[in-house]
Amino acid sequence: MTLDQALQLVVSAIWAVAVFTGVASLAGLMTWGERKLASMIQDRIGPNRANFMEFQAIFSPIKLLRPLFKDRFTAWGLFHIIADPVKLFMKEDFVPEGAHRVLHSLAPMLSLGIPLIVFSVFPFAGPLHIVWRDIPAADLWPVGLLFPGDVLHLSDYYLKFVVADLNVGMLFVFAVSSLAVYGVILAGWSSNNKFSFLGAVRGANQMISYEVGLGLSAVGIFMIYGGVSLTTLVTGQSELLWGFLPKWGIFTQPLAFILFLTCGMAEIKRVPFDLPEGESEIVAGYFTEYSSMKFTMFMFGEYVEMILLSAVLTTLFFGGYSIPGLSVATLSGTAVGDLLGPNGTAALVVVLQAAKFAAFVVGGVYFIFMIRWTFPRFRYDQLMRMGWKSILPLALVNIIVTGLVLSLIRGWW
Amino acid sequence: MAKPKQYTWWERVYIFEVIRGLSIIFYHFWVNILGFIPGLKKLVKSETVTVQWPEEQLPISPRWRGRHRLNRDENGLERCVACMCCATACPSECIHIVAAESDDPRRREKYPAEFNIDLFRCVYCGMCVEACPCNAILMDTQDMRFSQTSPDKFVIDKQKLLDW
Repeated sequence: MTLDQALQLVVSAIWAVAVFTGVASLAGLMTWGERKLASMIQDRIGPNRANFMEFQAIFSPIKLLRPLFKDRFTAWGLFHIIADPVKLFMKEDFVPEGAHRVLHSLAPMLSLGIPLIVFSVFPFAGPLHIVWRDIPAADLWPVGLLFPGDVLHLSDYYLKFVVADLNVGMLFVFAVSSLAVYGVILAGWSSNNKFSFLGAVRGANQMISYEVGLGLSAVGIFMIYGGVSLTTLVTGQSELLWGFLPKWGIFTQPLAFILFLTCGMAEIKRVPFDLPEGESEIVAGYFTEYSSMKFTMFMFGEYVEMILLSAVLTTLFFGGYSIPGLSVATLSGTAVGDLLGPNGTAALVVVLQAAKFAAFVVGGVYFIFMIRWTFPRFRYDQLMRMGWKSILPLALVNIIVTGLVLSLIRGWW
Repeated sequence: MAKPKQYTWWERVYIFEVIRGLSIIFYHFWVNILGFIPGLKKLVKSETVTVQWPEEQLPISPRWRGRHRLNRDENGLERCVACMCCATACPSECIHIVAAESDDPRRREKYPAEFNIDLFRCVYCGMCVEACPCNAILMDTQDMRFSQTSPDKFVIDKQKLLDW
C-alpha cells in the first residue's frame, strides 16, 4: 500500500460517513415530510403538536428570542421526527410463536442495510482537481513512519466525490438493490403468519418481474453514453444537445424514463405497487408480525429505497451532479472566476454540483410522494400484465430503436 | 349489477389521465403550502379546512345537546320539584333522584336531596328535558369535553349539575 492509496482510503471513509449521514437524515426527515405533504394535498394541516416544553423554558428567558418561543414551539411538527422513534423504542419487541428467531431478526437488517450499501457508487459532485505540491512521507510525521521513502502526490490529484468509483456502476446498483427482496421473503417466511407469507410471495413475484423491465429500460442509456460506470454516464450527460438542450437521459430516452420510473416504483414497493403491504387486503403484508425498532427498520428501509430510486433517476436521466454549461473552464474567464481564483472556482463548482445533485434527489422524493396520493393500488393481475405485456415489449422496442438511430447517426454500418 | 364503465381510448392510454390527476394533486399542495406562509396569505387562499381544536372552536348550535345542568330559580335554588318525570322518561335509566320534603320558605315543599346523572349510561337523547314540567333540567351547556381520570367521576351529583 502506498501513501496515495492510504489517502484514497481515508477519503472514501469520510465520504462513506458523509453519504450515510446525508441519506439517514433525509430518510428521517421524510417520515415527517410524507405525513406533512399528504395532509397538505388533502387540505389538512398535518402533524403540528409535538413540542419541547424545555425549549420554551431554556430560550424564553433570553430576551431577544422570546417572541419565537412565546407560544408552544412546535416547528411545524418537526419534533415528530424525534417523537416517533422514541415511541417505537418504548414498544415491546415481539417475536411471534413459531417464528424463526434468527431470520426474523435478520430480515429488517437486510431491508435497511442493502439499500444503504448501494449509495456507495453514486458520485455526488465532480472530481476536484487539486494542484498543490508533492509531500514526502518524512514531512507527515505520525503517518509517514508507516510508509518510509514514499511521496504523497498532491501536485496533480483528482479528489473524487464518491465512496467507490466502480467501473461496473449500474450493474452493481441493479445487483445489490435486487438483493433487498431477501428482506421481504425472509420477513414473510420467518413470521409464521399467513398474511406475512402472502405479502412475501407477492413481493418476490413483483420484484423479480419488474427487475427485467428495470434493467432493460436502462440499456438504451448505456448504449447512448457508452458505459455502465456512473461517472461515465454523468460525464456523457454533461454535454449539450444541439447547443441548447442538456444532453440528459430524459431528453434522449423519454420512453425509457417512464418505463424506468414505473419499474423503479414497483421495485421499491411504493404506492401504487405496494401489494406486498396491501394494508386493506393482508393487514400489513410481510411486516405484519414486526413491532418496535424492527418495524422502524422496515419503514426506514423503504424511505432509503425511495431516496435510492431518486438518486438512480437523477444519475441516469437528469445528468447526475453535472450542471450544463458550468465547469471550471467556463467560469475561469468570468468575473466570478477572477474573484475566487482557480482553487476557489473549482471549489465553487463542486459545491454547486453537490447542491444540484441533492436538489434533484429531494425533488425526486417529492415526486414519489405526489405519486402516492394520485394513484389507487393496482390489482395483482393488472400489475403482472403491465410488467410482462407492456413494459417488457416497450423496453425491447426502445433498445432496438435506440440501436438503429445510434447506428444511423454514428455510421456503424 | 352495474356494468363496468367502458373506458375511452384517451383513458386507456393512462398516461394523460395520470398527468391530469397529478396536476390536481400539485394544485392542492401548492395552494395549501403557499397559503400557509404568512406573507402570502393575502395572495393565495389556502384550502385547508382543519380547525385547530381546542384552540379555536366552531360555534355550536343552541339546539345541540351537551352535558346536563339543573336550572336555578329566583332564590338561587334548584327549580326541580323531584317529580321523577325525567327519571321515568329516561330510556337509559341514568337519572337517580332521592326526593325530600322541606319547611324552608324559600325552598319548594318537595325538592331533590340527591340528583345523580350517570354520564356513562346517558345517551344524550334529550327526553328528560322534554319531560320536565318545571324547566329544571336543561342540556344547553354546550359542554362536550368532560373527560375524567377515573370512572366514578362520571356520576355527577346535584352540586355539579347546578354549578356547571
